[in-house]
Amino acid sequence: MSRLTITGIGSVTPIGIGKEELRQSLDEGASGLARIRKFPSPLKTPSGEIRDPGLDKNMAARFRRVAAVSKYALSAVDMAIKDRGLPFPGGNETALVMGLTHGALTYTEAFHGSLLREERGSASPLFFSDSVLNAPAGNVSICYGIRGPVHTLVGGPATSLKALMLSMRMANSGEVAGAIAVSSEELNELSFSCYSRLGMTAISEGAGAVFIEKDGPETTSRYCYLSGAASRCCPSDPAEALQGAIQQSLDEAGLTTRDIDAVMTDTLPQALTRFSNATPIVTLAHLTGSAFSVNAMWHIILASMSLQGGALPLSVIVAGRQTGDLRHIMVCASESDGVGAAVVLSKT
Amino acid sequence: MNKRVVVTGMGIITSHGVGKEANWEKISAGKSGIREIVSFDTSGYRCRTGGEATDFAAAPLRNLDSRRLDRASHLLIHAAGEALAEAGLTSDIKNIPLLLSLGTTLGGMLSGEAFHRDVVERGIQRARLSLLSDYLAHAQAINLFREMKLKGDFLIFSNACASGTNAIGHAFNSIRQGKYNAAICGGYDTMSEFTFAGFSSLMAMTGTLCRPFDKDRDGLVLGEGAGILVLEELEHAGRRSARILGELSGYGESTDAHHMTSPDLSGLSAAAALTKALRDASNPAIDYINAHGTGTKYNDDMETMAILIALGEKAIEIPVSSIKPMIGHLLGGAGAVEAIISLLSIIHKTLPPSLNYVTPDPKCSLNIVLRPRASEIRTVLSNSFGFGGSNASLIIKEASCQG
Repeated sequence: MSRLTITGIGSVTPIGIGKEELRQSLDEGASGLARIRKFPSPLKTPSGEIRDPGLDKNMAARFRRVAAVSKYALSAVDMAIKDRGLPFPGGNETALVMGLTHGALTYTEAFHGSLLREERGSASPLFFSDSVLNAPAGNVSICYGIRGPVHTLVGGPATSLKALMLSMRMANSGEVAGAIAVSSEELNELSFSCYSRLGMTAISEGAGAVFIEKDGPETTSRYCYLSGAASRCCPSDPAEALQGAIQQSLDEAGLTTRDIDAVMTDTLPQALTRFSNATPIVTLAHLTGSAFSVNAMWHIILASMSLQGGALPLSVIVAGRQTGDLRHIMVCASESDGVGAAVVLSKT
Repeated sequence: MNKRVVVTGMGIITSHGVGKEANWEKISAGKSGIREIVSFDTSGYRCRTGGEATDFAAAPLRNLDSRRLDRASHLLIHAAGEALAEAGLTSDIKNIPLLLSLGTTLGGMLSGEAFHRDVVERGIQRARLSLLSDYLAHAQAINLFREMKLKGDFLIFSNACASGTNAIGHAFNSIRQGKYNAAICGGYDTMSEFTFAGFSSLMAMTGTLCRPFDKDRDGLVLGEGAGILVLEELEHAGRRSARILGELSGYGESTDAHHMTSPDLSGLSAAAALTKALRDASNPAIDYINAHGTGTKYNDDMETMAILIALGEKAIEIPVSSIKPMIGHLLGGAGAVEAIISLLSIIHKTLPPSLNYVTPDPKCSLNIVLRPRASEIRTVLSNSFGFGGSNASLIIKEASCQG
């Protein structure tokens, strides 16, 4: 049976657009966090913002009116498709699954603001149609002619892993030849203020996308295999949700915690006691900030690059130590309200 | 070999009331639940009516403080409670690992609106953050997990007006592929001024009556509510001696990749979803089509084309109706509520009518059900289409059908 493989990656992060910029920033340990500039704010909370998502001229012109969250998704998917190195199947042969937390908050706020200012007749329909949660996925499907299943999953930081799992299932069942899992978020003034008041520091924005397909003789680009994945919800015991997802993903991969050479997560290392103290715990959050559902997708991309390259960037190891031979990496995410998800990626 | 998936419980809230009896009584009689909107001021809008679930009031909950919950959570929790009670799972549900698969377009938008009003009145730094606790679109699922002490996992689809059908389709696939033995699935959405103004800005709402497939149709009318199904693997339901209400036998989905708010008028992409669902169910004879039928010119033109393409010559014989003129368009809840009404039409062997249909449209040459009537319905095709070009179809059949 063919194994599911990540064959293309695309990233829009505060520390670089695309894998080369990302790799260079990680090698240098460069931070993308700074005082917010995209809107006026009295808050000095550092954040990770995207100045230019890197859309080519034609796409930038065609999608100039869409919300930032869509632009980031378009750019990340474009990179993943090109990175795959083969003609894009598109049409009915491709699925797209978007995982997001907030969607186009800027347009939502603008549309609702116009209602509150009693300008009902002048509220722009664009702000409404692009504020719909599936607008980013819709824009990507329109751009690339994706006519297979296109889904938007909503939720917290684990949602991009759930999007990856649904993509895996569709690619594995043969329903489609390939699937793109993508996650995207945008910063806006209201969310920045709210999360800052809640004590959350370093929130950010951006997108990440991966192309998944079954391994085959025509595959030219192989980052890693997807060996196991699981998610759980247990609001009364969030730790149980995460541990359950970790165990189930390991079982699916036929592995134990001893086989895992690194864990990538924004979850506190204390929650990962089942792994050896020497197992490297990796996070991008101190360099990129937290872009909610996107961070786990960035970790999937980093895991893919690391498994292909054979080493972890030292700048992102926050516990444990670098290992000599990377064979299996776990990416996991947990949410305070009891959602846990884990994915095992393996060297090809 | 795929497993068989059966329905063992249903819960429904619409402008026709709370519960399947109240809803079926009015829908099968062709009554309208569309009234003047009371939850916000509609002056200034062309459309002033909608299907608000005015009979529904948030009730005290066992494990959560009901006063802190958004109306969306209440709709979901109540409909799920009804579905679980019918399935006989109220006390056992915490022992069964299950999938919660839901569709919503708005989540807790009413909380978001309240917060935004607070921002305008008090300023961004003083607005009450507590208003946001139920805003995000997955908060309602977490609340349901907490209230019912569920165990398992959830997935929230937000694929605009196809969300509920996609959520049911995902649960159906998960059970038949053996990932779960049981699922709670469906969709919900509340009436909000944000959405009302949005559809109004798109000139998609009628100033008169919603009349799907009628030549003089001029738009949709919004509604609110929830539709929840309990799905089980056939043998799992059998081991519990659960009453089987019906069976899901096919699911298909596709995407237009055409335009964010306008459907692909060729109907080809939507037809692909219908065709997949039919093929998935081994191409059964269809006795009734519960149409998406929004009453907008483009949707109904497109849906007619899709039905004609997917079902060929026999399409013009199959009875078709849309229940949206009676309860409004429930957005994320629409597909789920319509799946429940489809199943009730099978159980009661009665075709629900397409209200307000008067003048045939040559472009919509379908067999529209003008008034309720008895019919030997065994298998139903239920369609949903949404912004972003989302298309989804379900095949629902009677419990006694074999194969």
